[in-house]
Amino acid sequence: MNKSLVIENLYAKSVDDKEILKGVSLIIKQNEIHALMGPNGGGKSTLAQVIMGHPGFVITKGKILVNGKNIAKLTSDKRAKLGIFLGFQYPVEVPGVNFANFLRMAVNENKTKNEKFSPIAFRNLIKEKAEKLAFSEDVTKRFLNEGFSGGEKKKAEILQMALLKPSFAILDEPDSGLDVDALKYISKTITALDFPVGLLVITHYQRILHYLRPDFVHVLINGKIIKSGDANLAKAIERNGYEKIFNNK
Amino acid sequence: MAMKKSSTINNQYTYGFHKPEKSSFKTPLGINEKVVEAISAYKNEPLWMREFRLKALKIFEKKKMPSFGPDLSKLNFDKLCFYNSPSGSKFRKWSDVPKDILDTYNKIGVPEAEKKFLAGVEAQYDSEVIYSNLKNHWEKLGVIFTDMDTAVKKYPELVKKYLGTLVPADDNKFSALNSAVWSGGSFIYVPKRVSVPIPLQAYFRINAKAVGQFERTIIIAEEGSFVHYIEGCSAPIYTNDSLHAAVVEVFVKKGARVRYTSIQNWSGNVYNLVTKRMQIEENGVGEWVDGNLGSKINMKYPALILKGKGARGELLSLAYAGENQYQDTGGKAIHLAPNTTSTLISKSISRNGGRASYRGLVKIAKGAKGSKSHVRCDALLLDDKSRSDTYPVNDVQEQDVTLGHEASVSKVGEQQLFYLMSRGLNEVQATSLIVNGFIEPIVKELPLEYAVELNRLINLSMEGAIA
Amino acid sequence: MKNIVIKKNENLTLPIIWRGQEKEINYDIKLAGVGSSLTLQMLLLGKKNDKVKIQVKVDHQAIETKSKIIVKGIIDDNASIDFNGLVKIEKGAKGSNAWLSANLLLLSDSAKGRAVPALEILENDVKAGHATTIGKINETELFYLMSRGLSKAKATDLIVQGFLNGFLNYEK
Repeated sequence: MNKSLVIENLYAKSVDDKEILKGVSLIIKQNEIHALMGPNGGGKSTLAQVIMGHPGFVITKGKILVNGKNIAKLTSDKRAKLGIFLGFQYPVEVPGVNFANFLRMAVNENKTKNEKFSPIAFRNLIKEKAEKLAFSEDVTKRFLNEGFSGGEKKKAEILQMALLKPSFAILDEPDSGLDVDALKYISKTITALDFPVGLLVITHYQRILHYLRPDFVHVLINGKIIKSGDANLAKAIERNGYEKIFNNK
Repeated sequence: MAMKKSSTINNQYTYGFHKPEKSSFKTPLGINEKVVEAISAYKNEPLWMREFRLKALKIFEKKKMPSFGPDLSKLNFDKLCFYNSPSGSKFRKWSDVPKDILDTYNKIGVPEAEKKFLAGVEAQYDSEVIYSNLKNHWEKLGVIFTDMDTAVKKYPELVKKYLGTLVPADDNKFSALNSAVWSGGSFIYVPKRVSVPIPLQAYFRINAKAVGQFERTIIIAEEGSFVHYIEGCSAPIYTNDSLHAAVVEVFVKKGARVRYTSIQNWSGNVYNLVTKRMQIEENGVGEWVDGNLGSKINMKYPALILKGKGARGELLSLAYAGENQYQDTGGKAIHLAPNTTSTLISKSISRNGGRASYRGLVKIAKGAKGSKSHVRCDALLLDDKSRSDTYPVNDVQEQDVTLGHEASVSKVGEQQLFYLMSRGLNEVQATSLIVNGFIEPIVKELPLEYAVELNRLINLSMEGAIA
Repeated sequence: MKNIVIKKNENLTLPIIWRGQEKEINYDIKLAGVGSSLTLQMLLLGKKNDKVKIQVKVDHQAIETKSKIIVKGIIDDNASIDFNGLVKIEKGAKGSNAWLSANLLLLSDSAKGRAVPALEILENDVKAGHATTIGKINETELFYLMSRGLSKAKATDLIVQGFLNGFLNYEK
């Protein structure tokens, strides 16, 4: 079956009545990498959060279809169970909640009784993946994002994605605030994922696109996608900035 | 705690519990001189104890009810029974135990025999061998661990030396009441430099009823010694009595350390009004770990009296107020000597119309130079029906000190909820995780079985399975 | 007793300075209107034998109300301050924020300070918090300044100024 995430003419506003998305349309298929670029305030993060069902926004028009099913009215957990993952731009800290225990709970949610991971098996699995990301401390012992540096928070999001194995992952600025090494580790982990996934990578700085070659590049300005292209579009933006592209469209 | 190790209740003389009583004994309703004298006579107490009780009764009669906190006006002393001997207790039929209590026991995995015990159904509970091994162990160390009734007869000099010195009868109305009609409770004496390696648990010497109404406990830790005492149970305990007023006095001598862990989960008809005080001498360390889950009205403020220089005190307090519950809890730290430190951490959760109040006092007296105190109280309001209050008194009479206090009241963070749900956890699971994370600093200090049960209880209550 | 009622969308900034004159300061403030807000800044300077008992009550009665109470006290000689604050957020006052901070600096051996920052919260869709510190000047700060050649008196002055700066330059 051809799996896809379809955003169809999506309009959304914030709960204090500001319209942010003004008719966004996008089709992401599994195994494709899409990059979403655009100036600050254009609505990129909002799009990511709306797809995941953030309570701060309301969809006023349009659909979000996961393999044909409209998820616009579903709660976030149900969307996650249908295979959507959001790598947060600013992952929130949840004090007192052990990282490994929480992730095991989340992973086991989608497993049948026989497949569920035991605590020990899961801890070993996490350790193995965490090592590949060069996490500085034994992440299984720490509390969810508490006391994590900016780079560690981003790595933690990717680690969660690697273990949750979603069908479609939206990564909101996975590269901002990372040093060169961290960027390499994260990119390697993404390219080495051992399951099919459709990626929507939101990036402001395009650095990560040097490591993850996008199949499609979209530019979101003022709540609408005004141009789409291939990897060359990203290069053009890097050279010339958004204004020129906008004017030359 | 699900009582895995149980105790010998029946009248086993050899283990020195309590003498077999020939007939059941119950005082008539109300409290007066006749009732107090009857209790003392029934227990065959020495004269000095009888006088102690009678003096306390006079104070009780004159004392006013507390001027702060929950409304206690519905308490009618004339309609209460102040003494009901263990062998004479009527036990409920299994079918009388409320369904939600039974459901909880099932869900948190309490085995059959224990369920009955906790629900007050059975008097007997057998485990002599385990108990006697433990007893031999601590007796070899010179440790005394017995019930208060026995201590009065067997160690009168010790009891007389300490009883009422930290919590005198006239401290408040309920310490006076307790001093007049107390029964049961633990007496623990740890000799110099002895470290008791395993925690002493109250249910090792428990009587027929799960716990008594007016327990009186004294713990004496001589210089350089260590003991950890645990009482209570996180599984809900169903009881007929509606008034519990215990008094606990703990003496931590120079360089000694005492940790007192207590969890109460009394049924929703109980008024639990407790006075607990720990006096800590030079370089001693005293710790209260206090879990308050049950009761209709609970007033408890474990106090740390930092009497000697370098004394350290810590309080970890957890309160859960569900439907029809009012938890008025907190703690006190009184710094009387230089270089003393106190840390009070309180976490409360209110839900379904429950009310949790933190009531605290930190007082640093003149001369307590170099003292430090830190208080952190956080409250979580889980819905829009519940309430949280904080009444922290910070009183500093000495310049060379540091006192800090922080408090926060909030609901479950929307961002946190969204984050966890975005990983596939439903709202109940996400809320449970967040709530358990909120109380983690306290739960991690509890013995494992309590911690596990507590977490399960929280999860259950998130599901709305229990009020 | 001063009674103040703040109406819809009104913002009140109330600076109060005590220099030892009054023995009592009492305020009862109601945030009665939707969206109203209060900023109360109290500067307390006590010396010699000055004593004061302060009671401030702030009641959030409507939605989206905000209160911020900042109390800074410098207590010298034999002075003493007894501060009692009660912030109450009534049921239904959704989206309200309350913050109370009380910092008392004890500059002399006989200075005394008492602070009771109480909260009564009956509505869960709010943010409320408070923080209190009472004590002498931070020794590390003093040491640092003195290690740069400042006398103890000068260093103390600087630190006290810094303590008050937060108050004097307060901006919304």
